[in-house]
Amino acid sequence: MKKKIWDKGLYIEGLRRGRTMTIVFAIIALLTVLFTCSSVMSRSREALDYTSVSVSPNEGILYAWFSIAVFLVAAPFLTLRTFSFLNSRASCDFWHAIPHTRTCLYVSFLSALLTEYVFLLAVTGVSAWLAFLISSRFIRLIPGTLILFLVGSFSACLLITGALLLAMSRTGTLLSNLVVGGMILAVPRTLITCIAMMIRGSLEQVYDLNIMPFSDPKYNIPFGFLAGFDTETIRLPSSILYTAILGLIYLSLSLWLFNTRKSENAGASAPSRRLQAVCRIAVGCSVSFIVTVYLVGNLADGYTYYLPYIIFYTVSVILYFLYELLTTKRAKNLITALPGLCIVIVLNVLLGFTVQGIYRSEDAFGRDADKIKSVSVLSDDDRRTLTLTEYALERCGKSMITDREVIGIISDALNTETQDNASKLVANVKVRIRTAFTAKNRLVSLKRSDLSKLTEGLKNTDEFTDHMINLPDAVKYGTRAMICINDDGNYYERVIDLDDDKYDVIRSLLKEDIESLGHEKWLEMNFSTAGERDDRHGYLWLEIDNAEALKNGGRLNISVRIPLNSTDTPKTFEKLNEYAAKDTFDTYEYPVPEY
Amino acid sequence: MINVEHITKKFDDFTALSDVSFKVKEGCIYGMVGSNGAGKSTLLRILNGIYKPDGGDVTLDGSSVWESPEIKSRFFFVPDEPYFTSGASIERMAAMYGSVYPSFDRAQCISLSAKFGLDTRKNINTFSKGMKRQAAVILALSCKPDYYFFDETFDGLDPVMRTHVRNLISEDVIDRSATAILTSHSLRELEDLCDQLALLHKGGLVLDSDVSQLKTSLFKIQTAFRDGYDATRFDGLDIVKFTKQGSVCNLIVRGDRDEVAARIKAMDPVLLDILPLSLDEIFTYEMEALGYVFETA
Repeated sequence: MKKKIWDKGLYIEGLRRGRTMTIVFAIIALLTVLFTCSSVMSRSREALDYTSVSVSPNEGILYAWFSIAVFLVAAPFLTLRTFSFLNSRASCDFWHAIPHTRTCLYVSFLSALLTEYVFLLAVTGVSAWLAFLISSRFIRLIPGTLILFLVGSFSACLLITGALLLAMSRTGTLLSNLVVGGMILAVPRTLITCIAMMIRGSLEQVYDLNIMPFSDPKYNIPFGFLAGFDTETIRLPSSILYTAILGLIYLSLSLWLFNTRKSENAGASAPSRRLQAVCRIAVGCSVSFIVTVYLVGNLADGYTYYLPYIIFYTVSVILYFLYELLTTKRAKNLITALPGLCIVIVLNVLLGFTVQGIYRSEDAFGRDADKIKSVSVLSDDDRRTLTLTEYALERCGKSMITDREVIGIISDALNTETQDNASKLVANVKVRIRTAFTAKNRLVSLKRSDLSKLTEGLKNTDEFTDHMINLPDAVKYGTRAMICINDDGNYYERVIDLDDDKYDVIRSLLKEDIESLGHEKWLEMNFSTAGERDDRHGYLWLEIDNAEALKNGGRLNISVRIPLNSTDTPKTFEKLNEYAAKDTFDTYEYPVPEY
Repeated sequence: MINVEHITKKFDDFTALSDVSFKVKEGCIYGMVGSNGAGKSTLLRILNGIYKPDGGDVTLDGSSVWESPEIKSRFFFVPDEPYFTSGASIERMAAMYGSVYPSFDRAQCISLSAKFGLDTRKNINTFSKGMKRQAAVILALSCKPDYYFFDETFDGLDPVMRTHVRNLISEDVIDRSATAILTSHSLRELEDLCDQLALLHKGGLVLDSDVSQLKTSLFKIQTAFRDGYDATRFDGLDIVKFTKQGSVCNLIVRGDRDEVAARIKAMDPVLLDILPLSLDEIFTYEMEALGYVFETA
């Protein structure tokens, strides 16, 4: 008999173990999809009844979170169920006695578990596709988005399963599985997030949580979701990749631990007193670390009210002993656990110094102009709508600026106290500063003269003109236009939603208009607001896929506003006027990009 | 042949097995007795590759048992608490074992279940303790392994079933030259079944011997002399225990029965009786001789 790493019999047995639970979760997933679909349809109908102004395009994803929650709940339940044999001596001995290696047992059961996830995702995907297909008059399903959503859910399941299996490979009771698994899943990320949030809160020039690589909580899909940081990251490829890779690392580690796991660990919270102590210390540190992080931040800010810290340090001590009591059920162990508290204290002191070091390093970053190699201007990702000029400037700003004068302006801004010069400062600009070793994002407050130097330099580049003339590539489903006509005092305003065909026509006509008008005049028209004073003017809004911006904490989609009027862009304006006249609510189709 | 070499197993500070070594020949029934906590179950789990020893190794024909599916496919372990997957019937367990044991005999499983009066479609976990053990034995015998390991298997079986199971194990060993290793805390249970017996006590193997040899090697002599005497009269004999009441003394002697009888006869006794010992008595005396206090069940 060869040593196999996967066995069909074990795989089927693994499927049997989670069968009932999988069916229950499949039904819940199906119901949540139907609920999502009916909710979106209902909102669309409402919109059709009253106005042509659509509901927020983000609502689709809000409902979809019910489905995501199914996976976040299904993953731990199914993992605990499939590998529950590790918590009972009789069952653990049984599975270790059968003629297979531990690797084969682990891989076969894990593959069964992953199959169940795929089944649940398939149920969600197919039912969503069918439901949206049936209701295509109101809503349109974007296949790519759905696939990203499903892959993101799967990577979240991988991470949760990896963390739990890592815990189960060493602990042997349900409580210890959950506590240790939860700590593996949440504590490192919570700690990193707290450090990042503390630094962001204390240093005004730090505006995002990317203080170190992958420190933004959005990278971790389950954490990002549970902590409520962002609901869009599940579709972001970098988050999906990060979550999946972390999940695979956890799974690889758990395989190694599973192979060295002693069958006699079943039923015991920890295989040895040493590991029990490690778990207990980790529990004690899980709260006290967060308290220490904020204590360092508040000390740096000169804050001297210590009562909350004393309370939370006391809570960590209580948790430390509570874990010991709950897992060993012996009161006398509390005395033997006492020396471990010293380790918790030492670890907290070490963390305090480390956090202080990070704080100082973050504060000092970018203050020395000589160390800066380049800077680039980042999008103001909080804004949902940009003018075409702003859009082009942002795109150009992404290019690295190596001009020493600009670098000097940025560095000086970081060295200037905002409060002292508040009256002279006109704009907060997000920049990315690169040194020889690293790159970080900073928020700098600039004076009008400095801001002009920055933007004028960018406007004179070919790249800027290119963005202005060629127009951004829009995702077609979000194109909308508005025309305003003031006919001898009779004001007429109309919003037109453009379908794919109309979008192609309008884009083509606008390009013709730009060519006819000439590039310089087109730029002038965009720089000024003169066009808006025309009696017959309007706007075209292009929905831009801005996935790249999410890396810096921005939104997935932004809307770029392009001015139109009957004099400078006549063909486009008249065509829109024609569409406005023909447009009826019957042809209305509401796109649901997020789901 | 299973070769157990210097096995040591610790659970934290507790030493469950300490430097245990023995050999199990093919085609025999090897019994292991010992009080609760002696290390019998731990030893069986190590033999089956469930527990990894902290020291020493278990080999079958020179290959280590640990993480060897090839060797484990020749083993079947029936634990003291038989385990069946959730909601499993005998049929489902048979299907599962059939996929991992190449020689699994489905027909035998059905026929044995019928003999025991067990419903093969019923959830085993609804069975009584005794029925679960019967089901475990049926599945074990149907797997047709080369080596069986039964941990306290006769516990919970009524006398009729106990005899039935014992007979089935004996028949299988004879028919297929299989090897069975059984543990029990009761020597009487294994006395008539085993070819070889070992005694575990406090994690150590204190005795390991062929049963027939054990029964003949130690015997009891009751003798009396006209004159006064003490134990020194029997110098030269391998006396395990000497007790005297009045002029009659009882001797537990190790050695050749005829030779010992001839030597005592030569001392002109007024009484000389040679009595066989039960295995219980033999174990007790051997243990006492080794300095252990072992209460037989």
